[in-house]
Amino acid sequence: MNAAAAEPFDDVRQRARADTFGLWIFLMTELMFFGPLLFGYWFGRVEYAHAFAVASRHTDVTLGTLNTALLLSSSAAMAAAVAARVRRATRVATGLLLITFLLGCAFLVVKGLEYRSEWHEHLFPGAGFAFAGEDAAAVRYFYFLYFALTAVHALHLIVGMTLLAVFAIALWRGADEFGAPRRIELAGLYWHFVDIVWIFLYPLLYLLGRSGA
Amino acid sequence: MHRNTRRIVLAWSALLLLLAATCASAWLPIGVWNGVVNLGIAALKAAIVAAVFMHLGASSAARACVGVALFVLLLIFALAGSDYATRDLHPAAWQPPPTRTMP
Repeated sequence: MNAAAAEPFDDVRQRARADTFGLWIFLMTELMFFGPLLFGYWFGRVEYAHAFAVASRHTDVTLGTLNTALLLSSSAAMAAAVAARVRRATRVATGLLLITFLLGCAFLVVKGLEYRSEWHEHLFPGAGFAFAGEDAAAVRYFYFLYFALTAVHALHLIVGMTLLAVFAIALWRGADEFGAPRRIELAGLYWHFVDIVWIFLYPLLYLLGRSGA
Repeated sequence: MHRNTRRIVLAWSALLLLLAATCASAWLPIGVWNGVVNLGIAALKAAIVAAVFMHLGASSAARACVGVALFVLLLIFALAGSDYATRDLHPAAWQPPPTRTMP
């Protein structure tokens, strides 16, 4: 069988366009995946506006801001890695992939510290949930969304970090075909999407109700 | 510095500046405008990431895909939201479960 028959594409460019389009479709199904949780958040914010503001003030805004900065920086490193790989600066690309991976690790460590202190404050919406005040049920609803959204996001981040690690190791070992520029680009698209999700989670979960008394 | 690298560094600086702006604005007592400003800045940051890092401008197919997805999401929010918005919540008082009497 010849190569032309095995490939449904006319040329490399058409194939690259199809790859990109396919990944964007996947990313948009991911958006639909986050959609119901975001709708739940919108409903809660309208219906229990006061309680949501009270609950949001209990999140750690310093760590949340630090984490946003870490993720934004990781996206910049990822974009630089893709650019380096495209211009065949493989060593630079490998290093930048590693930096992106380490920034992802730092994000997860900070998130873990937040989870730990929230667990000790009885904010995890399980059997041990406790919150003083009449809004406790709605605050619990907020923290259900907080944990669901951040945990699903962290899961996506871990998937992205796995991709980064696999490609960084492949490039390090000189697997030029496996770590082709096109593939690094697609991994980058996924990483940036996860970053964009966090860009919206940050004001929704951490900044709500900060100005109120 | 490579031209592409400069674009990335510029976008990165803009993203961190916007992060500082959104964080600082959250403490201004401007009521509902806090939410508007925060979400507006988030949308701007997302647009920078999509345009500079994800090269969304280079693929019309991808742009169409994003447009359709956002439209569908809007549709879902509008339809489900109109249901919740036009119905009152009447939580029932807690009732003890029925107990079975032994014969």
